[in-house]
Amino acid sequence: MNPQIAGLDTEYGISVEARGASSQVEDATEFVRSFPGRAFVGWDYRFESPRQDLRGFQLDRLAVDPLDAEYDAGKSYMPAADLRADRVLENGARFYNDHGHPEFATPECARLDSLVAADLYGERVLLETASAYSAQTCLAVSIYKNNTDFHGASYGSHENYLVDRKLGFQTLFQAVSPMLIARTILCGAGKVGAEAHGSAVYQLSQRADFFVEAANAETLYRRPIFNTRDEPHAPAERFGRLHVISGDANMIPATTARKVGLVKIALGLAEVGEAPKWDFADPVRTMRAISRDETYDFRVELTGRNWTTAYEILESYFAAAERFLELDDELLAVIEDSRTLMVELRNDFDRFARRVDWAAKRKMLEQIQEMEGLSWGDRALQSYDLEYHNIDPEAGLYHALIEMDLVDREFASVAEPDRTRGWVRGLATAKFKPAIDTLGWRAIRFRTSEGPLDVELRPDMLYSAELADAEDVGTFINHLLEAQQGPQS
Amino acid sequence: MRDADRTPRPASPGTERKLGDDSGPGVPDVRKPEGGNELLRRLKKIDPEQAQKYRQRSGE
Repeated sequence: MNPQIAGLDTEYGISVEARGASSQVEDATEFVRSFPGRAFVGWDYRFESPRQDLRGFQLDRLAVDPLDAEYDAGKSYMPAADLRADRVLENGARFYNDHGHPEFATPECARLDSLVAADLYGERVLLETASAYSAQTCLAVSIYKNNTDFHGASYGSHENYLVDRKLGFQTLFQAVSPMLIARTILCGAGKVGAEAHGSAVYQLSQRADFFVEAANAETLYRRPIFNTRDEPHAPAERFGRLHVISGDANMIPATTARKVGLVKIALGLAEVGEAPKWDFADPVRTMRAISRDETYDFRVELTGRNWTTAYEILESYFAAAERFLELDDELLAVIEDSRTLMVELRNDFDRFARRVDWAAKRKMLEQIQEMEGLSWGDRALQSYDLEYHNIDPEAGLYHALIEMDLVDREFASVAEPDRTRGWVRGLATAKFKPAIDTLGWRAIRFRTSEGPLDVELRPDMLYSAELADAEDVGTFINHLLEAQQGPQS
Repeated sequence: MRDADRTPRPASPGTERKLGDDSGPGVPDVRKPEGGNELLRRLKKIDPEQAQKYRQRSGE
């Protein structure tokens, strides 16, 4: 398999003392601007196309949430670029305000351990920014790595996978959708209660309540399980970007790695035409049912009145991957780990809960009920659910579980980052910032004596380590131009 | 993404905004893990009404 390039972008929940959702957009702007580290300001928006649909058409408009529209009624915001406050960090990440949420988008990574390291770095960025923001404003701020406010507002933790354009919508949809639904049992972040579609005690997924269609290009409202936004951030004739919005933000690093690794397996099988074929009777209803299944049977209704289970669906991907793919050490580990977890889920929940967020949180909430004399019907449990996701190591309940050795925090450290175009973006930011006019996912526009020079970054390759040795911007640009001419992967 | 890319839509009847329908069965079978003091220490600092006060805009 070729390197599978992926990135994560996480919209964090933000709670500022004496402020609320009506001022959240402005607060998030000021929050991001408080980032105390070195960064480049000047994001390049030229290649953004959120209304383009993978199925070959463009939407006139995307929907907005009606309550958010009420918050915005009569308001006049500053220009969009100012509002977003984009920062490009020296590791190639993008940090900005997206719809009122501080969002950290990792640099593109080839390996799972690099991606998890970048995601954890994002938590540190948010923490340092929170500290700086509080010092500036004298307001307390809490940051949550979760996906819901328990009142019906959800925000995303998205995965992005570089894919070959030739795969197309139908192949990707059929190969990936069953995985997106089935992986919930091993990757969900868990949630107390329900925000739509009737009642629930405790769900595996933070997001399942919010999906109402199997596939569409929306992200803020009428969200789909399979998002068809066609915004490749790369030459569209060769590349696509699978934009996955159905996953949860994870606190346990191993869960983050598993979430991405499972989709990489599905994409690898799509590329060789060997993805398992599962025709769900109703994908949306199935995802919701899995999320709420207290029996852990995870039955899935298929077309033609047939049935299977999420366990069997996952195993079908693993068996096919072992047969048809050249798996690297990380994906082999994902398969082995997932198989072990599926056994533990049914036979040893305590061990399972060490490595899966929804189970770790459920176990914690059960302990709290015992200590505090609460029941599942007590609303305070949603507060403790929320605080599981507080990223402050001194306050968050997930971090309490680490101190109590109830979850596995350890994740292999990364000696050096993957030398993707994200690494190049970070190098440019760190070494040649004065020579940069604009910078984005896809290209760097340099200021040169002959005027602006756009240099496209290759999305599909790992760059030479020698690039880091370039001592002047001219040499750096020449290396990038040479790489453009290199062999296609 | 630009604001011009989006337009308000009417609320869907399936996504009404009410604090969770979180009724359910009684206290489940629990086993108290070791080291409960750290969790208890942090719980004391959490406002039990925190989630009711926590309101966010929709993100993506």
